[in-house]
Amino acid sequence: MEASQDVPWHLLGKDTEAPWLERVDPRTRLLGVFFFCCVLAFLGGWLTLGLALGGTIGLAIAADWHPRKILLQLLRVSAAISPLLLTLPWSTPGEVFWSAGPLRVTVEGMTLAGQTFLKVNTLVLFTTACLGGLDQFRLGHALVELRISPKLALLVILVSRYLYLVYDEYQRMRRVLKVRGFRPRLNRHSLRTLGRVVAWLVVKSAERSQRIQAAMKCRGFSGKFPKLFPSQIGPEDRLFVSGLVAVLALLALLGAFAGLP
Amino acid sequence: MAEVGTGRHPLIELCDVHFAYGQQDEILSGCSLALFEKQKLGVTGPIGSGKTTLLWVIVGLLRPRSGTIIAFGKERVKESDFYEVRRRVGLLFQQVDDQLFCPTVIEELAFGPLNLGKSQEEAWAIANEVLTELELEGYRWRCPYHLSAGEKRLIALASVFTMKPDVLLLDEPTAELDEKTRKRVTQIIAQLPQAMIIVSHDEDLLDSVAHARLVLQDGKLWDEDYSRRGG
Repeated sequence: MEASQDVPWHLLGKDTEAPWLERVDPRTRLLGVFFFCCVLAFLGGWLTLGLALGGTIGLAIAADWHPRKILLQLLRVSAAISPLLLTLPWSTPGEVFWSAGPLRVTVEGMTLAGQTFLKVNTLVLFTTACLGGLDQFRLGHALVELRISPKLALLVILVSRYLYLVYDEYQRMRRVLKVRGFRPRLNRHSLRTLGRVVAWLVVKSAERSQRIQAAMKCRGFSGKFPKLFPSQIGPEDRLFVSGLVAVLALLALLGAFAGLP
Repeated sequence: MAEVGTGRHPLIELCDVHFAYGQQDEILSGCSLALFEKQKLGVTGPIGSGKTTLLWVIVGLLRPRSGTIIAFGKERVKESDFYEVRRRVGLLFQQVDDQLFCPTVIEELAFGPLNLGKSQEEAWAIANEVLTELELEGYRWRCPYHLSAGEKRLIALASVFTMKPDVLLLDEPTAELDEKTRKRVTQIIAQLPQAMIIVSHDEDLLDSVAHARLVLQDGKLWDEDYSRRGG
C-alpha cells in the first residue's frame, strides 16, 4: 500500500491491491460465515449440497485461491473426516445395499456419508476462504464490534500471539541445536536433549509472555485492544451480502422442493 | 553529580530499595537514586547486576521487598498507583521483540496513544508525527516481525515516544545497532528534552549524553568516581 497523507481517512488501513474478498469488512465476513453455516446445516439432498460446494469453490476462485490450494484443502479435510466417512455406510441402520457376513452396507449409510462429505468440505472451505486472510487483530476487533464478547476477542488475539511466540522460541532453539552439531537419532542423548528442549520451550515461552505482558502494561494496555482504523462498509460488502443472500435463498428453495433426504 | 536539575523535587526517587526474585539472594539491596527534571542519568554495571530489574521496579512491573518509590511527587505502592507512572514513564525494553506485537508499524505506534484514550485521528496524527521526526516514514506499513533487530529497536523507540512520556527509561538503546544507526540514536537521545535513565555499556552514548553516571554493583548504586576509587 502506498503510504501517503493524501489517502482519504476512511481508506486508510484498507489494502486496495488485495483480492476483493479481503476488502470486505471482517464483520460482514464473520456474519456471512455464521448465516451460511446455519442455513447449510439444515439443507439436504445431493443437488443442493453439490451446488453449495460448487458455489463455495467458485467463491474461493473469485477470492484468488489457486485451484491447487483448493484441492489440497479439500483433500486435507476429507482425510481428517475419513474415519467417519468409512464407518458411516455400515453402521447406519436401513435398507441393505450390500452385505458380506456380518457387515451390512446400507443405502442410508452411504447417503449420509456422501452428504456429510459435501457438507463438511463446503463449511470448511467457505470459512477459510472468508476468514483465512484475517490476522488475529482484525478478527478480534470484528468480534468486539459485533458485540460478541470482548473476552473472546482478547483470547483470539492473545492465543495467536502466544502460539507465534512458542513457535518462534522453538525455531530459535532448533537453530541453536543445529549450530551446536545436534543430529536427532534414536538414542539416550537425543531423547534427553529433546526432553530438555521441550522443558526449555515451556519455561522460556512463559518468561517471554511475562515480558510481553509487561511491555503492554507499560504502554497503557488495560484489557482492550484499541483499533487505529475505522471500519468501513463499502461496495465489496454490498456485493458479498447480496451474493450470499441470493445463493442461500436458491439453496433453501432447492432444498425445500427436493425435500429432505 | 552534575548541575542539571539539582535543587528541585526529583521526578523519580528510590530510597533504600531491596528486591529479590522469589527465594533467591537479593539482586537490589539498598538502591537509592533521584532523577531530576531534564537530567540524563547513565547506569552501567556488570552483567546480571540488576540493571533491568531496577528499571522494572521503577514502573512497578516488579514490586520491591522493602524501600520506597516516589514518582512525580507521590509514593507508589499498589498496582493502581503505577498506572499513572506507566503513562508518564516510557520504558524501552532490552528485548525489543517483546515490545512489538501489532500487524503494522503504524498500528504499533498508535497502540499507546489509543490506550491513553486518544481518538483514531489523533493517534494517527501522533504516530505519523513521530515517524517523520525519526525519519522512519518508509516503515509505516511494514510488519514489525519482519524487520531486522536494529530496525525493530528504532520502531520500539518510536512507539515509546508516541506516548509523549515525561521520563524515559532506556534499557540498552544502542545494542545490536550498526555504527550509523547507533550514531543516529545517540543524536536523537541527546536532543530529547526529557529526563531519562539510560542503562548501557555504550561508552560513546554515555559520554555524549549522560549528565551523571551510576554503577550498579553488589545490589547498590554507586557514584562512578566512588567505584573507580575501588569503593
